[in-house]
Amino acid sequence: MAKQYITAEKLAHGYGDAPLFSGLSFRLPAGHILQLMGKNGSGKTTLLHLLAGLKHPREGSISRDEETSLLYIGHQNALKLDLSPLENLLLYQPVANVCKKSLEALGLKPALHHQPCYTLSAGQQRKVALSRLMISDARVWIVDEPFTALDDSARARIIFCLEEHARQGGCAIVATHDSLDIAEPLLKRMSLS
Amino acid sequence: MTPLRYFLFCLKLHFRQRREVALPLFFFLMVSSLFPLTFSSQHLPVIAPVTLWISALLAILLSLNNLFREDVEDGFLIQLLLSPAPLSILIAVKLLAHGLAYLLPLFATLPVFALWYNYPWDSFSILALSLALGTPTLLILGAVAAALAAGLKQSGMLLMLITLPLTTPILLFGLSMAEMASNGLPWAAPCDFLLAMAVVSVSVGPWVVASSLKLGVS
Repeated sequence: MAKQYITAEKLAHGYGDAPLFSGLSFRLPAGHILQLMGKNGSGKTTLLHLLAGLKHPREGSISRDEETSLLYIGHQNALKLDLSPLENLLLYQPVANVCKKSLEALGLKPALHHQPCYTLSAGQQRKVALSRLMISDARVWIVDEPFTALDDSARARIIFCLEEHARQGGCAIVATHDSLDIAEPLLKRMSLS
Repeated sequence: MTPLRYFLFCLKLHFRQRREVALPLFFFLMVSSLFPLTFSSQHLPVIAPVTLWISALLAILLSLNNLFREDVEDGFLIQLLLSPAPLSILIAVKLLAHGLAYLLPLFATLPVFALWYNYPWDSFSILALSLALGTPTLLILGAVAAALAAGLKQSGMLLMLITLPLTTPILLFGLSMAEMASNGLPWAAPCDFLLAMAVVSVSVGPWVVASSLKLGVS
């Protein structure tokens, strides 16, 4: 039986008196990608925060192997705009060549690697944030709206990267409105209404 | 993210943001420079400790205004919270880098004020020592308030209101240390208090700041 990285039981959460979701139960085994769908305000980001342990659910429980490393890439890019893409990535991966390769894989030209991030476009900044997927050794990836402002080739590269991660026994939860072109055995879908 | 890499990252970031880093220093220089222009020279040695201590306190609070706000706004705080390294260690590292970037230049300017305020050199070293012992505690008290107010808009005034009452004992003991030294009295007691507060705040402060940040996020 595949290792269960995350197990959620009867989750309920909301803000004020308005519930976002309730009775939500699911498991995320190794080798799977869970696509989280739903309208704006349906609680996708909140659910991701709960799964990452940034918030506590009102009801229910989440069990996650504390030993398992986790990578979270949220709405915001978590980049320091005064530093270059390379300097931002070196915080997480000390080998500069590995960082450069991951940036190039997403289409960020070497000339841009040393420029301050504030000189990059929104799409390029998103690429820098997402290039962390390629340098991370975390088994669980939580990614919120990865394809915002991305071009088609970078989008395809990210999908390939997610697929490879699942094939190598990792798992990922991706909140996105876009369709993920990933084969069914690897992909599960869940919709929040 | 290891603590060492994060420390170097913070230093590099402070260097790139040197214009923002320079603002509290200029504030300190301007406020401290106003008094010699307005007071007669015979009063200057008397008011020097108060002026320098209060200017330093306000400059530190000014520097703390942005300590966590940028991390909240750009999503970097989540990376700190989810890092495998303990948050309190990362906070200690961040505060150390902040102290080096903001306090060291401030201390470097102090000898200029000793000349300008006609402050005796033998007493000046004690005044500088009181500031060196007191400012880490001021920094950490301010960091706790900055962590509590991190997610709030217009947090600058709140930071001042939370921190100023807490810093009063440090200010009083720092000033009494400088005053006792200038009057030729033994100044060991206030010095011991400042040292004890510095040790306590440096050892417990990062943990309190980390807990405040987690509280603010959840």
